[in-house]
Amino acid sequence: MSAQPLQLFDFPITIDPHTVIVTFFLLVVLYWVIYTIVAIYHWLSYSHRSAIIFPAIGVHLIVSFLLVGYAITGLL
Amino acid sequence: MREFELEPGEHVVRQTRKHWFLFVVGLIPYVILALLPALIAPLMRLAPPLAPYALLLDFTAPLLRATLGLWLLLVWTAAWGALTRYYLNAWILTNQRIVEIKQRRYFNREVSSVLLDRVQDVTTDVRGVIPSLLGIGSIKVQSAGAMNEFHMFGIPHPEEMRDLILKYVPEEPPEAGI
Repeated sequence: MSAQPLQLFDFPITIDPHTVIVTFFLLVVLYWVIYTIVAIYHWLSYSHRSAIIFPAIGVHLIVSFLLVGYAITGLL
Repeated sequence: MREFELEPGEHVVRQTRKHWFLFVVGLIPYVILALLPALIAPLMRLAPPLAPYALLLDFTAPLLRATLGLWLLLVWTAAWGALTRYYLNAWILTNQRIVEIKQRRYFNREVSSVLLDRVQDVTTDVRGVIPSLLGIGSIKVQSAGAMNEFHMFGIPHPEEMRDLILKYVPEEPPEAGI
């Protein structure tokens, strides 16, 4: 059996993977923005001025920005 | 407090949530989802028909790195949402009532309370090895009235909570004799 290059599937149309990932990126970031705004609204409204409000929000934002930055390095 | 206002002379005795261990256990699915990308390639290598495709999962490649970053962002956001819901669910004992705050989902919040002078019986329940070691249990408060049972599940040290509730239940006034 001769060695042939690996081919996953034979798609009838060509899809640019970069375009797909960029679209996915924009959708995920949009979802993240809406979800984060809703969650922060709940923290500020219903956590009874707890001491962990701002640390919890801060950690979420820092970790999220790091992950978004990591994802962006794959798009550049 | 926006959900309920304290009455004159009322003060918060204790505010409690589910035990932290239950929160940590609830995070396990998110940990598995976060590790999934790293586990897929080794699992594919175990199945000979899929083994060649494992080579395609190289997360140092730019587009796969972007996909991995987005996947982890989704998982992280969901896990943080679990923390939010964990924190916003609470039971508050005041010197006059027990308040239960249920945050089922975002924009789905239920606040109910039972007056301590209607409490008839308080039962604690601790079952299992880990709950016994960590002091995790439930409390059932029976009261007279429309809502005649009030449950707190998975709270830390339910016996302490029960004693506190009973401490603040007003004693029945002595019956008037002739």
